[in-house]
Amino acid sequence: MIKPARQPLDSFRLVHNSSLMACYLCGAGNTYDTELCRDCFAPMALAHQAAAQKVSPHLIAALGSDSVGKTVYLGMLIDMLSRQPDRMQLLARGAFSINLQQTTVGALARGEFPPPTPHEPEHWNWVHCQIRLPARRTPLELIMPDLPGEAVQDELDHPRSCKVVYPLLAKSLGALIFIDAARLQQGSLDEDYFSMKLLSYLAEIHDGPRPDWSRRPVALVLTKADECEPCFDDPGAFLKSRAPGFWRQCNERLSNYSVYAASVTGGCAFRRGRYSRERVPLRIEPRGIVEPFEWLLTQLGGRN
Amino acid sequence: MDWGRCNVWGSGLGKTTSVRQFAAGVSVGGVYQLIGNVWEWTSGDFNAVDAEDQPLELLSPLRAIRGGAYDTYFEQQACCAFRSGERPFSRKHNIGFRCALCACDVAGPRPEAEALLQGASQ
Repeated sequence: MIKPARQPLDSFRLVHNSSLMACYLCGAGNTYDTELCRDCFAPMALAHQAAAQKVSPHLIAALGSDSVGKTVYLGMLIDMLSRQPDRMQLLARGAFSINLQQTTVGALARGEFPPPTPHEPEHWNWVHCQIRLPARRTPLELIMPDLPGEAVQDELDHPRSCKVVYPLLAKSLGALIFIDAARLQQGSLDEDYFSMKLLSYLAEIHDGPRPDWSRRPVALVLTKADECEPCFDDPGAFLKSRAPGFWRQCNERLSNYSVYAASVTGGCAFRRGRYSRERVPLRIEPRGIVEPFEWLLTQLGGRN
Repeated sequence: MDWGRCNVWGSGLGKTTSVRQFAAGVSVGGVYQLIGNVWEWTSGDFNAVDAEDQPLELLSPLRAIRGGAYDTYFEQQACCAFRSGERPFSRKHNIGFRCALCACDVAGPRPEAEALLQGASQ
């Protein structure tokens, strides 16, 4: 026998699924409870946080070739600014923003480098943070993804093939471009060619109201500079002599750039694996890490 | 580690200091800044091993340095047990040296030892 029963109607709980939320990066519509954008795989938490705080975070791109040291630089930078807030204070927004810091510093403390950033966008680390500068009353909201060099290389070879890189670079207000000083010191020209391709790609990006990349601030960071001390004495002269093509393009295509030398380790050795040789740090002594980022923020701050 | 007793990254100075700083961190024998400020050269070779004691490959022979410097980030790398390496002719912003003499070389002749030596020669 069927007994009639009174069942409360809970369908109002689904109302938030009926309206789509735009991805902060690519603008694609996603349901409210989506974790990663269905189109570009950027964390939807960025859009939620931006909507909740009613601010639009600035995007900063960190670009460089494979194994240039982007992950180590960004992880170290965030950890340094979190631990010692004298020059500027960094507060991570959301637990996902601490992943990069945790992975990097944990690996360095164990005497190894963090694993390479996976090629798949759903596994990239995104950092959303608030920066308080002593000379600025209102804090800056920043988003910095850790893009793998392979993804950038693919995008350079096949423009618009990656759904993250183009919208990210179109919306970024500034960039950190990393160049491997150790490879330049060894006479390799790969870094020179990669960087030239990157600048050519940036020059082709035009995104409505934003200024072209020729007017956006770009910090050129020579990484692994501990392996070539002259790099610290005069980074600009080092870049000019070791990467002449890139240097000429910088002068022609960028109007607001500055060159820095940076290193996280004080020396490296190699561990022989079954199939390859792996670099391991001998000691951790960060040098020149905060300066490029500080310069970039100063340039961004001057614009607001 | 108490950051107030030595000059490492966590101490926040960000540069080298006078050897006479950090009096609270002197050793039992009264030696200043055995930890931090600048790495100190030693005459020993640096045989690099990883955390599992497996030997590491070096691009060139290195000499051992000890003690950590003002920019040493991890406290476990600024202790007596930790060694790192550097090329013997390298000159860096955070590596220095300490003049050390054996106590027996500066204490002068000891009468008992002199007497023993004379007895042995006779």
